[in-house]
Amino acid sequence: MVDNRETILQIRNLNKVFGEEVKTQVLFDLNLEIRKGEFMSLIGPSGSGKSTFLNILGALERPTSGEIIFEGKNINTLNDKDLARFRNQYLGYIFQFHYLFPEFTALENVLLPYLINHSAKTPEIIKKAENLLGMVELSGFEDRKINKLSGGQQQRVAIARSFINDPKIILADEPTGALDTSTSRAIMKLMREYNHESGTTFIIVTHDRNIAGSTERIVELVDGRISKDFSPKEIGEAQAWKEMERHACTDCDTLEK
Amino acid sequence: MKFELMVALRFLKESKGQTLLILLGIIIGVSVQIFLSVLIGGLQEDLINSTVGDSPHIFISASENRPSSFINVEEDEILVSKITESRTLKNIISYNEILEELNEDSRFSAVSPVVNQQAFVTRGGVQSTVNVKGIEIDNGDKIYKIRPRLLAKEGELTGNNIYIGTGLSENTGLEINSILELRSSFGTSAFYKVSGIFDFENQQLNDALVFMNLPSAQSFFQMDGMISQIEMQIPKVFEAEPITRDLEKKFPGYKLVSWQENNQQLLTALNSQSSSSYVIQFFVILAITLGIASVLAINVVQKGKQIGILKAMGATGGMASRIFILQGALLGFVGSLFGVVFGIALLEGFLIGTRSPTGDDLFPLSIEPGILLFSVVIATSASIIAAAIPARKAALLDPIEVIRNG
Repeated sequence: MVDNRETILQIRNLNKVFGEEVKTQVLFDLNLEIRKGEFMSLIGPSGSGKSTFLNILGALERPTSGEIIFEGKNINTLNDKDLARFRNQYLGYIFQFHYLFPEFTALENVLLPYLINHSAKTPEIIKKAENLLGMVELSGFEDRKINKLSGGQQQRVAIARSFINDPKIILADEPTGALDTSTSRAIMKLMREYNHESGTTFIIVTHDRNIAGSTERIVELVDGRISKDFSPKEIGEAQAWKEMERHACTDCDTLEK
Repeated sequence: MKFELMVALRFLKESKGQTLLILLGIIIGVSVQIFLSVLIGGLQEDLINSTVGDSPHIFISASENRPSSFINVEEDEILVSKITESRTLKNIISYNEILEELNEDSRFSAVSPVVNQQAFVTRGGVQSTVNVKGIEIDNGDKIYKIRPRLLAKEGELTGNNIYIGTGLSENTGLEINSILELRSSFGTSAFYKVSGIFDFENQQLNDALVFMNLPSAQSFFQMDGMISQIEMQIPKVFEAEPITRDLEKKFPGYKLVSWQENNQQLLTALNSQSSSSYVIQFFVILAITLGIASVLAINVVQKGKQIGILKAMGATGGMASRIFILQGALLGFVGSLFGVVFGIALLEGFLIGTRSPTGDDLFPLSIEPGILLFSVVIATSASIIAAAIPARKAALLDPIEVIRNG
């Protein structure tokens, strides 16, 4: 099956080296093309460099060499200020830990990315934030402080927050890592639905093959190199399951550590 | 800026305990600073008032070094030639022009021409030296406040009436309506009537000062058409120095002296008192600054995660640092406002606590809005400076660190 969707993000010869004196290379000559509206997962064992890769894709970290081209523009050439604006405008983040602000209510947390670059809360944006909270099934929780919400609810607020600025790409780092299986499934469903509705590109980092299996494209990273890149639908569920054999146990990450 | 303000306010509100503690620190610091500066200011003002309040602030007399200026005076040339050398030098001859000019100058609240001479009183075989001051009573009263301080009075300061102090009265047994003989240093003598006895609450003055009508003094001391000096008062005593220098330019050839020049010791004492007060105030402000700096430094660490996430979501380093600058500014501003209120309360409390049994204040305290405003500005600026280091830390914080380390 040929994917004829437009390319939104193109990675060319990406390298990342940490350290000044003792150099550790974590990413080696990565090349990847991500299409608009893609719902993909980045899978790999602990230390494979997948989080670093995600941070670079999320413009939070700069690569040592190589290019990241977003809609035809190399974002590496942006200065820190423009890069911050770029992140605010085009990217949404969901982290393993929700990283919500305990100082603010659920609704205010959802509004935060908007408020960074807008001086006033318009009735429209408040309505939008309320709708997003409704979408993540948190209607009625608008004025709750974050620490009065359950783990699943908190992560859903974080998801609603990542949607507020209508980002082009949402980067999710182990979004279900801290949640139980059924909550995880609900969260994945939520993201998939939003992906369908809005056409927003999702890049989800996970080490859980159950999570990866529910995405439309799986990119496997081993030792800083892309080892596999396949569509579970195309090769069939059974084959995909086999391809991800090494990620069999959901607790691998914790065990390795 | 609105976003930064919102986050700053929320951060302050969320760590209530910390915020209240540091606010309390600022309030105490600012109130002590205000208390101290107003108290010292009031004390000094009181001291200066009692020193120069009822005495001249600026004196004009003939220049001792430049007698030529007298000779230049028109119309009085004949008179000049008659006067003996030694006294010419010390007297202002044609003073009417100068007086006119000074009277028209709105900077002076009192202008009084005087004759100052020594004379002798002999009484019961004891001879005492007195300082005779010839004045125009209305003008002299403006400076010396003689009338309110007369214990006994029998007639105005006219003709041969004189006013003497309580000390002289006691020492010589002179009473109201007593007649006494004054002798000048060059041999002339005349009789005068004691028509008033004053109490200046100053032994030296009470013992030796004698007030006389100006024309009487002029004739007694053979100084017709001459005066010793012109004495002036101004509403704000510390402006005496520049005004004196200005008059010096206007009246070259005359000797101008400000009260400051006659009270160097007092001024030195006041200056060193002020300096020590400034040192204390400086350290109080420094303590506040350090307090705020340390609280905000802790705050940056505590809110590191939030700052990191804000930056990941697109907040710039500038925004992150402004959140902390604003926190510092808010703490300083609100704290110093309360500090001002508390400081005024302290001052009122001090006044009530030190009030004499008759209900008089120990000394008057003037709380000027300028001092209060100054305190607020200083405390707020110090707080902003204190926030600079934490703010810089926040600006440099790498969101990746936060995300990577959870």
